[in-house]
Amino acid sequence: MQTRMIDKQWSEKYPDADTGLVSTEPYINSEHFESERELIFRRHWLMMGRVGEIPEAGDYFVRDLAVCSVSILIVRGEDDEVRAFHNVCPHRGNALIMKEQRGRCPGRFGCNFHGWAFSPEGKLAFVPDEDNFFDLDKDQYGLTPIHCDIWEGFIFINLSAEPAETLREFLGGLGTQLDGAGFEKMQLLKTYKVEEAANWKTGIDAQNELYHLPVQHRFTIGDAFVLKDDRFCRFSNVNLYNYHSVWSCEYNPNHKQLPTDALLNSLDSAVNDVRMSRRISNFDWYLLFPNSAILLFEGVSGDFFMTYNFWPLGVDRSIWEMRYHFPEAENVAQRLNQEWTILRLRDTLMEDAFQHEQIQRGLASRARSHMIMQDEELPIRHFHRVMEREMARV
Amino acid sequence: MAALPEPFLDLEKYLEWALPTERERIAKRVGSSLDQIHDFYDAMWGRLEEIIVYLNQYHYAEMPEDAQRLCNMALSLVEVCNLVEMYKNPARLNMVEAERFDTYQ
Repeated sequence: MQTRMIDKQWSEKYPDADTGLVSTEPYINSEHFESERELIFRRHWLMMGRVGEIPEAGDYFVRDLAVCSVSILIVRGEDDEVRAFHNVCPHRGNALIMKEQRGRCPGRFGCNFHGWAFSPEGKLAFVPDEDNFFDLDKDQYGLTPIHCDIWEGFIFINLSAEPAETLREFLGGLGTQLDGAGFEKMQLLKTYKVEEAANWKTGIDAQNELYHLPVQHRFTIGDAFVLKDDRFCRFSNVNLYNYHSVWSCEYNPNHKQLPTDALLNSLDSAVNDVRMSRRISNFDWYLLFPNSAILLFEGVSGDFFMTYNFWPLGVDRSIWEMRYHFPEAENVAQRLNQEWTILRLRDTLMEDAFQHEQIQRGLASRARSHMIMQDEELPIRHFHRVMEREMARV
Repeated sequence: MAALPEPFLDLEKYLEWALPTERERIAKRVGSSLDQIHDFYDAMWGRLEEIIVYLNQYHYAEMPEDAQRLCNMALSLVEVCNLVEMYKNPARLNMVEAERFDTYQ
């Protein structure tokens, strides 16, 4: 076992990280939320999805970012390049694709209003009654591009006019840690989306620690990871980066295995055994600033990873998206084993979604102005210090 | 063609659990009594090994209709097994309703 069952080890590792309180105001204050729209979501790189979701030329998906009042079209061109555009017809501003969806462009994206048509590379290809316009330069009326970059198959966008940092600079130590991790060996198997009556940070903070696990999840996965004296969470490692962070933990070898889990494991005869190469421990939880997470799991017949995105709808409403990526199942036994893993986590996340809303109610009451956090909650405090730093940057 | 592969015809009375989507399987679990769930679980669990060995002859995404129904019943078993084995009673848990988890690919 690599986990050291000692107290206050992470503030020892990071003596410059403070151990102070965290204000509750950013979770409940509308003015603060209005500032987050500009200073957080319009300035920083945001993770949208994976290139594997749009494998062929013309494949696209649309993502509505209510927090910035934009709808984003992400599409793979005939030249194989993945681009991001405003999902808006440059003629009179109509939404080009009218709802969040995934699909394949049938040669051209056609606007439903007047029939302007665009190539998957965003060029204006056809204008009905074109001769009746005055000085229409078609090169000037392609789809409006959005900064887009790819790292390890993850698609990121940046809504600022000129990003202050490249994606690589923004990723910093997290990028170095996960370069070549092998994400491309997994494919998207399941997505859940739940709308919560909670601030987006309420959700992401509640996920960014294990202190709650033996209590809140006592009927589900409370014994999944090693605990000090079988009671208290201890990470096996924590890394804090400029924006991001990661904590890791080890599976509990004595955890009570359930009958169907044991049976499915014994029958899972898959030999593909796809592994990720950059895992730190059995389970690694990366906060990808500002609103995403990457979770790496060691699995029975292959590793798998999840992503979270917390998309704000308002100061006290958000959407939590969860995506599960697994190696392609070789046979039914492996696929059922994957399904078991997904559903056990799903039921746990349903407990979490419930809790997020209860936390939000408590915070909104203003019963307390600050929260106190212990050593194993250091990654949350780090996130809030980064938020404070970015909110103060003019 | 029979509704289920020949070795599993005795499971036909549980065909209402042969549901193709997670959304339908959740609705079936939520709409069933604990007794109904246990009845289905008990009938399926003892046959699960045999079912998986049988289904392994097919690719997961391409199987005949009768095998697909059997596979969907196995997925329903996975849907209810947490309840039966882990948390026993939904009322015990503080969780949002599964219907709020919008699932899509």
